[in-house]
Amino acid sequence: MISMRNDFRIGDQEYRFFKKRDILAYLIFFAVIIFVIFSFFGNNTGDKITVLIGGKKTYEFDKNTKGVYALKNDANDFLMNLVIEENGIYIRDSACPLKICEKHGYLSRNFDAIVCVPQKVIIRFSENEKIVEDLKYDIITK
Amino acid sequence: MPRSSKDDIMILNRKTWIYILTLAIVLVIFVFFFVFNRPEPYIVKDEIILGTYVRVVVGSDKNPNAIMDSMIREMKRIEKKFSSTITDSIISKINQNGKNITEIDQETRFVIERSLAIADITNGAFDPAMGRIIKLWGFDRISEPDFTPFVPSDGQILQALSHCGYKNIEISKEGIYLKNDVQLDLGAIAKGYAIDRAVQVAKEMDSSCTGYVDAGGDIGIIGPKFGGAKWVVAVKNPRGESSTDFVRYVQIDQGAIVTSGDYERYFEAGGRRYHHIFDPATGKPAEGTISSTIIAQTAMDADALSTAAFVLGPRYSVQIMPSLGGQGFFMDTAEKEYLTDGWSYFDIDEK
Repeated sequence: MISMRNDFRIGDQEYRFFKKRDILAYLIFFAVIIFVIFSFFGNNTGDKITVLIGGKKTYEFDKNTKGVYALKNDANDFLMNLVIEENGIYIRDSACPLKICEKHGYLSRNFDAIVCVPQKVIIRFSENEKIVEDLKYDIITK
Repeated sequence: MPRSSKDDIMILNRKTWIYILTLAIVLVIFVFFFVFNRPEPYIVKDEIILGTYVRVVVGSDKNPNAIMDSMIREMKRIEKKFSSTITDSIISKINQNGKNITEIDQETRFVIERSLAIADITNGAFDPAMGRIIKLWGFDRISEPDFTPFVPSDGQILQALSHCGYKNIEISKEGIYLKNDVQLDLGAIAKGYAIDRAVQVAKEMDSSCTGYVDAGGDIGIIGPKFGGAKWVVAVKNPRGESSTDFVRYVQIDQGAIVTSGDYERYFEAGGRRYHHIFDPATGKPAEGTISSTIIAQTAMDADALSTAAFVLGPRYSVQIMPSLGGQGFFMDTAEKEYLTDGWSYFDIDEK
């Protein structure tokens, strides 16, 4: 039977399993575990949106920071507005004559990307940098 | 004062506890760094090359970053060499020289000869000498910011069409020349060739390399997923409401899969949609097909065959594509689906 008592006796002498310094050691141990867990899950890119302009990572947005963001290139030319709403992420007011990026609609996860070829803009979830096993599909042909 | 043997037992116990705790901490750190925080099996890079969105995914034990860079460099080299809009490309040079012979290297010869072979077996449905029509409609500049939609008149189309046709391309030991003022445009095959070359470069650098190259939905497989599994490729619904609306799922671990559709490169004018796949018989965007997907051994063949199938129409393509080396899935304008007999080998839902 397991005893929950911290003290025990041998003959007339009383002893304790844990002293104050032992508790300190335990606290350090748990702090390390918590740090490790937070370090690992803190890198979760699931809520981040990456914008590449001319092949260079130019912007990164948090999915939860709602608003309309003007995307500009290195020459400070306006390219398009990125809209982050409760319903999703999409493009409007593109300076490109084709406006195919506007017709893309909401950006979804799983290897989707909003692309404007003439302006060399790629918008996608940051997590798409990883290849994972448990998706229904890996690649899209279109 | 000498310690009792009971004290010695306690000291030993406390030392053991601290020893165990230290060991546990080391173990946790070890697990974090070597199990959870291990490098991703694949590295991914997105670029815009060949007028499209290119995604390269590489898994290798031998310097995957160097492999990735070499692949992208190779694709950019091919873009520069075979583009009809870059003035110092070999294609521009051939077009400028026209009826005068242009000397060509082995690689150019290979790509042009393969184009001509596919043009022959598809009875001209795929035609690498449609440069005049492509330029007339402005699709050679569709990837440029200054692209202006333009719908030519029937007269202009007929005039341009009279200077088209692959039979006007003459290739010999000395080189190549163009008759009847035709213009070469390898846009419907060069992308596939670039994918094949990128895959080849990856395999030359590491024969056990895996991953894929996706150039705007034209996909070449380097090797199986995680070294053993098949990649699942979703075929986009050409009339789907969202970007993740799919009609088919296929599994492949080698070769290539390419789709030609009327919904990726197009412009709208006067309430009509004009896409980039031209019928060499009319000089206008091909009608009757909305999506044509081909699985073949090489991306180059899949690229050319998917264009040819789009022009030929689903009813005919479903019969002839297997004999040309491609398994296909096609949709007509009524959204009716057509599958070649061998398609079910790849299709998840047909198995």
